[in-house]
Amino acid sequence: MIEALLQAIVSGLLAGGIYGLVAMGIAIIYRSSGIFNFAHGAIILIGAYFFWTLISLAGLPLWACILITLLLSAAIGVALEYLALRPLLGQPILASIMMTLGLSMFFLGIYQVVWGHRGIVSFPNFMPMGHWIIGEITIGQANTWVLIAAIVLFVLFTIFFKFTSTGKQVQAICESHSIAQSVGIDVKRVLSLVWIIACMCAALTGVLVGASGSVGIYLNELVFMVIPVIILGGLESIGGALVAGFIVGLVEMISATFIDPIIGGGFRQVAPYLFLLIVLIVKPYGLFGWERIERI
Amino acid sequence: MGLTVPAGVRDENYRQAITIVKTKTQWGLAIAGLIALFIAPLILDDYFNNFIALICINMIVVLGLNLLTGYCGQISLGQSAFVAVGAYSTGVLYAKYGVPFPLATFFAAMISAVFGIIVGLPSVRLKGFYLALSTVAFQFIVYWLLFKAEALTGGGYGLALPAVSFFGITFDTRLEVAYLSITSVVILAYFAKGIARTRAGRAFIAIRDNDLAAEVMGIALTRTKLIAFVISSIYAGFAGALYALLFRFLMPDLFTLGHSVWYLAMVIVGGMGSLLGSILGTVFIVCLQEITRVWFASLAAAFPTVLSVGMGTGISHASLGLALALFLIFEPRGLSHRWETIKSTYRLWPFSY
Repeated sequence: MIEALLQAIVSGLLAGGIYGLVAMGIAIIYRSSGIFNFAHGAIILIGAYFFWTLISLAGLPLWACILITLLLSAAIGVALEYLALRPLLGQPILASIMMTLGLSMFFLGIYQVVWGHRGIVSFPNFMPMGHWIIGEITIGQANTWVLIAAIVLFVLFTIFFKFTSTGKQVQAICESHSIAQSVGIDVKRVLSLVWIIACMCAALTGVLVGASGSVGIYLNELVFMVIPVIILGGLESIGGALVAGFIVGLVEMISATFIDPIIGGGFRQVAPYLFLLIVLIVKPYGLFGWERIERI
Repeated sequence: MGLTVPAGVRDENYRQAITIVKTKTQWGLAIAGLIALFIAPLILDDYFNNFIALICINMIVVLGLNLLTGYCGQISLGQSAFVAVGAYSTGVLYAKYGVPFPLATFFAAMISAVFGIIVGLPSVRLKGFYLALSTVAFQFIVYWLLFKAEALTGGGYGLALPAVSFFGITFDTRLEVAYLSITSVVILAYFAKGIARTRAGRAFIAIRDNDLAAEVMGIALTRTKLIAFVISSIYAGFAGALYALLFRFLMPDLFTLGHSVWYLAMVIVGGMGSLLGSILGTVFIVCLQEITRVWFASLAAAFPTVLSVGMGTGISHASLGLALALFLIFEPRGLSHRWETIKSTYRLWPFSY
C-alpha cells in the first residue's frame, strides 16, 4: 500500500513535469496578451514531427535538428502573431478563443496531410531510456530529464523576466498594453517576441516529450490535458504552471492508483477535469493568478 | 437599420416593430420559400436528402447555441455533449426500454435541460473564458461517461437503433427523415425568433452587453443565464434525438470537443446574435466540409498511389480552420452582416448613399 502510494507520487511528479512544460508556454502568452493559445498543442505536434523528419529521414546531427526546429517554430510564432492575432486586438474574448481553436484545426490538418500516414513514430535514442529502481519504486530516466528540463526552463524564464531589459518590457505589457505603450515600449514588437518564445517552448516540449516516449497525435491533446493545470496555477503565472503541473500529476496518478480499482479503470482521464470544476468553483483565479477587479 | 425594409414601410407601434414578415413581397417570398423547401426532398435523391437532414440537425444545435452565445454572451464549448445527452437518452429509451419515439424525444430534451442547468450553474460565478473552460470540462466528462456506462450506451462499440416509426410513419428512407428535419427546423427557428424578439431575448442581449448594468436595470441575472442554458440545451437535445433517428447508430466519437468547436464556428461564420446568420453559417460550414470531402475523394481516386485517406480529413480540417480564421479577421460580424450589406446596396443602387 505504502509502496503504491510512493510510486503514484513519483509518477505523478514526473507526469507533472510534462504538464508544467506545456502549461508554461501557454501561461507566457496568456499573461502578456490575454489569449489562451489552444493551438499550442498543434505546434508541439508539428515541432515534434518536423524534428523527426530532420533526424530520421534527413539524418542531420542532433544539434542541427534542434536548431532548425527552433527556428521553424520561431517563424510560426511570428507569423501567428502578425497574421492571425494582431488583427484581433480589442475584439471580444470569444474571437481570440475561436481564432486559436481554428489555428489548432489548421495545424492539425497540415499534420494530417504531411505526416498523417506515418502514424506513431519514435526518435532515435538520444536520451537514456532506462529505469532507476529504488526498492519497489521505478523511476523512468527519460521522464526525469523532461522534469529537469522543465525546471531549468522555469529558472531561465525567471532570470529573463526579472533581470533583463527585454524581459522587464514583457512584464510591463502584462500589466497594461496602453500604459506600456505610453512609457515608450513597442507593444507589438514585444508581443511577437512573446509568441516566438512560446512557440519555441512548444517545439522544445514536442522534442522532449517525443524523446521520452513516442510521437503521435496525442501530443495535440496535451493542450486540453493541461487546462486544469493552468487554471489551478492561475492563468498568468509561469511558476504557478509548474507547481500546478505537479499537483495535477499527483491527483491523476493517485486517483489512478486508488480509485480505478473501485470503478474499473479509466478514472485518471477525467480526474483532472473534475478537479478543474472544483477549482473553478472554489478558487477561479487559481493559486497564483491575478485577481482582476472589474470596474463599471 | 432603415434599409432592411423598402422605403415607405413604417413601424407605428411596438407590435409592428417586432413582426418578422413586414411587407407583401416578404410574405410572398416566405411562402414560396417554404413551398420550395417542402417540394425539394421529392425531387432530390437520397444523397441530397441525407445531406439536407444533416444540415437541419446542425442548424437546430446552432440556433440554440446562438441564443446562448450570440445573444446572451455565455460561451459554451460543450454543445456537442448536450447533443450526445439527447441522442443517447433517445437511443437508450427507444431501443432498450421501448418508449415511443416522440415521448423518448421529449424525455431526451428534458434530460438535456437538466444538464443545461447543471452546466449553467457555474455561470453564476464565472465569466467569459473561465466559463468556456468549465464547459470544456463538461464535454470531457460526458465523453468519458459514454464510454464508462457501457451497460446503457454500449461504450466504444456503439448503440444501434431499429428503424423508428411513430404516427403510422416508418422513418427508414432518407425522404421521410428529410421531411421530419425540415419541419422541425422551421418550427424551432420560429420559436428561436420568438424568444429572440421578446422579453427573454432582450434580457439576453442586455446581459451580453454588460451584465452588471443589466442587473442594475432589474434583470434577474442568474435566472436569465440559466434560462439561456436550458433553451440551448433543449435545442441540442432535440437535435440529438433527430441525430439518433437519422444515423441509427451512436458512438462517443460522434460527440467530441471538435464538434463543439464547429458548432461555435458556425455561429461565428454566420454572425453572432443573428438567427438568419445561424442558418447561413451552418449551410456554409457543412457544405465546405462536404465539398472538401467529395473533392478529395475524387482526387484520391485519380491518384491512389500519392494520396491516402488521412489526407482528406487533413485537408478538411485545414480548410475549415483557415475559413474560420479568415472570417474572424475580415468579417467578424459574419455572413448575416454581409447579407445586410448586400440588401442595402441593392436598395440604394445606383446611389452610393
